[in-house]
Order: sequence, then structure tokens, then C-alpha cells
Amino acid sequence: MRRFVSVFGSMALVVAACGTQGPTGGQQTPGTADTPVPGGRIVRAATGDPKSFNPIIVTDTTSYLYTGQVYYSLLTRDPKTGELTGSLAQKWGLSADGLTVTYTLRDDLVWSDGTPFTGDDYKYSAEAVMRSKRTTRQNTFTNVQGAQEYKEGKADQISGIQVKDGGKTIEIKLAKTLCPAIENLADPTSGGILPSKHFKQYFDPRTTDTSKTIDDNPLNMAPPASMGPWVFKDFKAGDRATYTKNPKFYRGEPLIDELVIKVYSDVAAIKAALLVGEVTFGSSTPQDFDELSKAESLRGFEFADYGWTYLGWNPDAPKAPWLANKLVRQAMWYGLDRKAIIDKIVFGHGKLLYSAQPPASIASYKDDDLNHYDFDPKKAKALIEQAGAKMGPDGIYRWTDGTPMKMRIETNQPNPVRETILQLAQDQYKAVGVQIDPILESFNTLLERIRCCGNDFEGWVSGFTGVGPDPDQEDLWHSKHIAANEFNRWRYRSPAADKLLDQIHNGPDCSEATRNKLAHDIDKLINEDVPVVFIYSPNTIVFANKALVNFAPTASQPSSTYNIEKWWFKK
Amino acid sequence: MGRFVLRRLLQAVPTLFGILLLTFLLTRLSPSDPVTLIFGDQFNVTPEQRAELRRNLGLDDPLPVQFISYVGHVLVLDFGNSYYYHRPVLSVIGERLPNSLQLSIAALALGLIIGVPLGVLAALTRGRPTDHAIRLVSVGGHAIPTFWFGLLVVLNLGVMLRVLPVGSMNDLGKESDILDRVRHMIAPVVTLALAGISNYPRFVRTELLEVLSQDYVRTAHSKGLRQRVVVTRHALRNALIPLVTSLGGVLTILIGGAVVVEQIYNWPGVGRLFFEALVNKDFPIVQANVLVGSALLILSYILRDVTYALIDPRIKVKA
Repeated sequence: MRRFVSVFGSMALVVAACGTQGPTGGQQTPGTADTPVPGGRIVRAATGDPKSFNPIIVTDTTSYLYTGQVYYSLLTRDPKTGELTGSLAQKWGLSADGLTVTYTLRDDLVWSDGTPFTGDDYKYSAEAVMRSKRTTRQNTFTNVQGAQEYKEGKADQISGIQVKDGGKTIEIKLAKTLCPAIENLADPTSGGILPSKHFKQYFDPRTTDTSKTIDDNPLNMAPPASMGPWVFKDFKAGDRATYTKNPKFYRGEPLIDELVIKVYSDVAAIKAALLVGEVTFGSSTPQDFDELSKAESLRGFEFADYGWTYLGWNPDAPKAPWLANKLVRQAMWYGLDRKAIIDKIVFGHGKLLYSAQPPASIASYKDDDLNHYDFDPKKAKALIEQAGAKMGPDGIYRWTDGTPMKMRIETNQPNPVRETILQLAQDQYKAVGVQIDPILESFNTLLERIRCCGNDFEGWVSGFTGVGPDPDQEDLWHSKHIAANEFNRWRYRSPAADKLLDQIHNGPDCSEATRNKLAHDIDKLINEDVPVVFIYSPNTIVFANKALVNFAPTASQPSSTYNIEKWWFKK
Repeated sequence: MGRFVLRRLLQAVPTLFGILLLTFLLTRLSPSDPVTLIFGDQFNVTPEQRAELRRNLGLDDPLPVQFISYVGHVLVLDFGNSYYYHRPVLSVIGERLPNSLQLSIAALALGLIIGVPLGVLAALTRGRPTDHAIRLVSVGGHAIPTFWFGLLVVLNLGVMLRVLPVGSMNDLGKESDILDRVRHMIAPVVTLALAGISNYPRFVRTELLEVLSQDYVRTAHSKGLRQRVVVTRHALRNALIPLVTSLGGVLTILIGGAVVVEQIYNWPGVGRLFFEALVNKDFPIVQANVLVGSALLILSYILRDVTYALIDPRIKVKA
């Protein structure tokens, strides 16, 4: 859900639309006086193929890029205010006891093939998730009555999901209160709702036979109908996916005829394609920002992201027992010049942050009463000594048991930014008496090492991109999520934080004000305990062809899909 | 000849079995857990889900049982499902193979068409400026790394001068336009052929000079045959042996594609797939690539030996 929220959720903190700053001219605002010209083709850059077009069995951002063109959710977030807003649903609500979620669909919703869209499509998608052997989305329905029984084959439908009023109302009964239920349950697959009429020929959910699933069928690579602005046309592996406009799209038929998601081998290839006009829009990197800003044909956009780059610590590391000591972890924060990282490694395209709520989350982000850990090597040394370490003759501290304070920090390659951060950290930590052995490895290897099967690692530099606008980060920081393949990879244990995280997740007060306050209290604890060093929150950078009118991405909608039907090309 | 080929094919069986065993053991003994790789960067995966997938994949079985099952599947060309794409490996490779073949065959042909005549010309003009120029180009071309040459082509001819596409197989909407495809192939094919264009002249020149000094060539000249006939009909044929040797692994290149070139020119071929599979630790695809590549390598060595006999009657293949 987190990743999904980061991609499709919404919160519009636009730090800068660099078209207004750079030499490429003024920002084009929606609602231009020119008459829209229909036609043309949008070419969007991607760095990989989809694993599948079925959102139930994917989790990666790249695949959602493809599925998100055709499958839509009941709710989204307003690109400007960040509030929850309707997509396929026009009304939604949580009962007073917090145990019933209700969605009312918009009138006259139809799939691209003319089939009416109803609550049955929602229920079908939910049941397909619960019977899938390959999905990781079943937690969405953990609290839904009857979901577990359905999964285990004790029932032939999820009793807690009721479709009423001829398919227009979806009522979901929960076993216990869950604050983010309205948003989480709005999207059963975390990537949109599937057309039940077509998928039923491969998976009929009205069965207790749990061996039957939606996991393998030809429609997983060829979406048969669309509720989005585009209808799937074809897919050529390694090259592109093509979509045509959906005349039945509920917000109106797109002005542009065709969308192509074109696969490029890396960001360098995307940059070249942007420069020659082969691509209409695509993400870019801080290194390429200046060069692309100078291109006559392009406009750039830059805004805060819902993620952060961090240096994580393993407090259980047997080879670095000092990491269990809070003072040492604080020292490591003081000992890293994060401002230099932002200035010299990401060229200013990022923001310092001091705890877990990302700057893009306007409502829950607050840093005035947090320790900023400004770069201070002397203070770092003092803290290490206060923790009990003594300086050795080689300039490296000795821990209380006499062990030299040497440890590994790992990161993934190829990733020039993280590799350079690691290099810088190695130099700066040596200056405060801690020796770092840098390790570079593939991303999958890094993931395996830090999340699984033991404690043979000390520190790692990585990024977290899936922190959404909802302030609930229970799965990141609650001690019950310290386990293989869970997300509390930094083994953060704090009974005080656990209590606050339980409240933000399960209530009883699910009001926004209360939850934002709880989020900030948790932030303060994390800031003090330093399970990770928050290095910076990177900015998202997007470049688009200047001829594209009404393209106005925001933090939550970097592809600006909230108004894609209004895009057109100025001749 | 038929018996020779059959014998060599039979000899290849234990080799392939060894490769099969080695690739199986390497992936099974790797610290990477297939279940973790399949779930990728997913969270909220329950231990039950992991256990179920492990059972479904047969990973709970003893290694010998797993190997027998693996061999059984490979014999019917079932390489399993890709960890990354969750689809049959053969289907994933099959989608990309034609793209790689287009590039590789064209590059091979270009390398031979340019490289062999250059080698002949250098030999015939030995010690003269033409010879020096060809050798200079040959050494220079050999020294230039493919990735660097490719990046220069993209930057200069693609981005700056815009005379060639920056990558991909065709412009959008021109999928059936042969001229457009040829335009897109120019840069990657030339880049891929660079090694051949640089190496083949050296092989051919050296060998041709040796052959040209032999008695039977002198005899041919004394019979009054024209230089062109002597070179093409008598000398060149024998001078091609080292070139054939160097082409021994050509089938492997055809299937394996060109990892670097496909990456630079955004060419959706097997080479790029192989690179992505390595990065993603998509072992079934890596295994299939290694196995098929090994099989083709063996096949191309057999073809090489047969070709020796065809171009040089002095060489006999014996069963």
C-alpha cells in the first residue's frame, strides 16, 4: 500500500516548478486561452517492463506505471490539497463505531467495453486477492470480516463485503477499527479494480477450492477492459506498451489519441530521448537537471518527494555492539555532513530532514522542535567518549570491550548518489574515529542482507520511496514488525513509540488532527533514538516537452494523471 | 562427415550435463534465497506464504531430487518461470531473441564484408601507405572500447547532429517500415561490428601474406593466372582458416546478443535481458542463457570443424 500511495496518492507540496525558475521559460498553467487541439501521441519513459499487468501480483513502481493506465481505484488524493477525494466513488464514510466502511460509486460508470462498472468488480478483485498465492496484498483485508475464512476455503465469498443498491454501494464490515481503512480498502489490489466479467473465465471466486487463483492467465499480460483514460492496445517486451484513448473514461475522453510507455535501458537513455524529442515526459536525475533545463524544447518540474535517503543501523550487529548505544548513533548523525551531501552530491535537489515524516506531507511534517544534528565532529567524538569508548593509537576509538570501532556500511550499485554518500561517510567517520569498510553490491543482495536471515551487517545506505501522505508509519517503526521481510529493518524497539503507533493505526481517535500530533510525537522519539540517520529527502524531477499543455505534475501526481484527459499538444 | 557430426554431438552430452549440474549447483548453493528473490521488494509476506511458495517450487526436496526434476524439465525445454517476470523463461527469451538475431547477424555480416577485403587489400599492398592505414585503423578500432564508441555515437550523431536515432528498434508507428528499421540498426550494428572490422583484417592479412609466399601460389602465377584469380580462388581460401577459428563462438554471440551494445542503444534483445537478469538475480533466465549459450558454443565448434574441411581439402574430418 505504501508504494502505491507514493505513486498514486496525493499531497501537493510543490517546492518549485522549475519552468518558472530556469532558462526554459515560464510555467505553462492549466486553462490556457488557446483552443485545445485533439490528437497526437504521448510517449512516456520507463526503465523497465511490467512484471505483469495484473496489479494483484506486482509490487514494483514500474509495473504500476503500466497497470495504472487502465485500472482505477475508488479514491485518490487531491493533487493540490492532499485530501482524500473521489475517483470511481463519489461518497465514502466510516460508521460511528469505526467498524463499517461504505463507498457509493459514481453514476453511469462503464468499462471501456461498455460493461457497467459495479461493486461486484470491487468484490471480485478483493476475493481474487485473498485467493492469490502470489500477492502480498492480503493484509489490506486482515480486518475485514470473513476474509480469512474465504482465503482458507471455508466460505465461497467474503461475507464482510456486501454490494448493495444494484451494485452502486459497497459496504465493508471490519472486525476492529483501522484508521487508514477508508483509503486502504478503496483499492483492493493496491493498483486498481479488475473487470470481473473478463477475469471470471479464468478465476471464478464462487468456490471453496483454494487451488484456483487469478495468478496465471493470459489477461495478466493483456488488460481486457479499462476504467482509466487509456485502453490497452499491445505490449512488446523490452520496448513499449501502447494504449489508445478511452472514449468512456468517466472524466471525459482524452484529447490525445495514444499513450506509449517506452522502455529505456537507463536514465542516460531517457535523457537522450528527452533531448531529441523522442519522449514527451520522463523523470530525471539531479546530475542531468542543468543540462536538461537548458534544452529549448523542455520544461522542468521539481517537487518534494514522499521518501528519504537514509543511513540505517543494525543495533543487534554482533560485530558492532556500539550500535546498540543511542549515544553512538547520535554521534554518527553529528559526524555526517548532510548539507555537503545535498550541495555536492545531489546538487541542491533535496531537503534536509530530521525524522520520518517526509517534507511532502504538509499536514504531518514539522521540524522546529526536533534536534537538527548539524554537522559537528567534536560533538560526535564527545558523544562516543561519553558512551564509554577510548581513542586508540591509530586514531580509531576502542569500544568498552577493547574492540576497534570498525564496521561495514553497505549500499547498492550502480547508484552513483549512494556510492558517493558512502565514500563521503567513510572519510567523515574516520575523522571522528570510526573506521568504515564500504561494501557495494546489487540492490537485491543488499535487500536480502538487511532484511533476512541474520545480523551479519552493521550499516547501510538506502532510500525509502514508499512513505505516503498518510502519517501512519506503523509498519516501519513498530517493534512487532522486526522480522524477516518486514519493514522495521533498523530493529527499532521503543515501547513508547509502539504505543503511539498503535493509536495512529487503530485509533480510537482517527481524526486527522490527532493522528498528525501522534505522528509528530513519534517523530520526536525517532529523532532522539536515531535508529537511522535521515540524510535527506530527495526532490522528484520531471521534464516534459514544452508543447504539452496542461501537464502540471505535483508531488503525489508526478505524472500529472489527475488531468491527463485535458492534455494536448500546442502546434 | 555424418558420423563425425554424430560423434561430436554425442561427446557434447556429458559436457552439457556437466554444465547443467554446475549451473544448478551454483544457483542452489548461492546465498540468495529463490523465495526471497521471487517476492522481491515486497513486504507483509507471511511465513506461511513463503513456506507455500517454497513447497510449490520443490525447494523443500533434497538436492538430488531437485536436480532430477530440473533435468527432466530442461529436457522438454521447460526452464521454469522467471523470478522477475513470473512467466515461462522460454517465452521471455523468445520475445527478445529475434531482435538480437537481427542485430548480431547484420553485425557479423558487416564485419566480414568490410574486414576480409581490408585484410586482403592490406596484404596485397604490404608496406605501402594503404597497408599502414588499414593496420592503423585495425589497431585503433581494436583499442576503442565498445561502450565508449557507442556513447560517442549516441551523443554526437544522435543528440547533437541528430542524423541517427538515439536508440530503439524503430520510430513509433513505423514498426513495419523496413527503411526505418535499417536507420535504427546503423549505429548499433556498426558498433557491434567494430570488433570484427578491426580484427578480421589482421587475421586475413597475416595469413594471406604467408599463403602468398607458398609454392602453389607461385605456380598459379606462373600459369598465367590473373592476380585476382590467384588471390580469390587459391590463396584466400586457405588464408581463411584462422578467421574461421575466430568465428568459432559466433553462434553464442548470435543468441547471447551484445549486452553492452543493446544497453547503450536501448535495443530490446537477449543481451539486455541477460544483463537485467543478472542484476535482478533472475536465476532461471541466467541458467537458460548459460545452457543455451553453451549448447550453441558446442554446436558452433562442430560447425567450425566441418567448415575447415570444406574450405581446405587437405583437412579431413574423421569419425
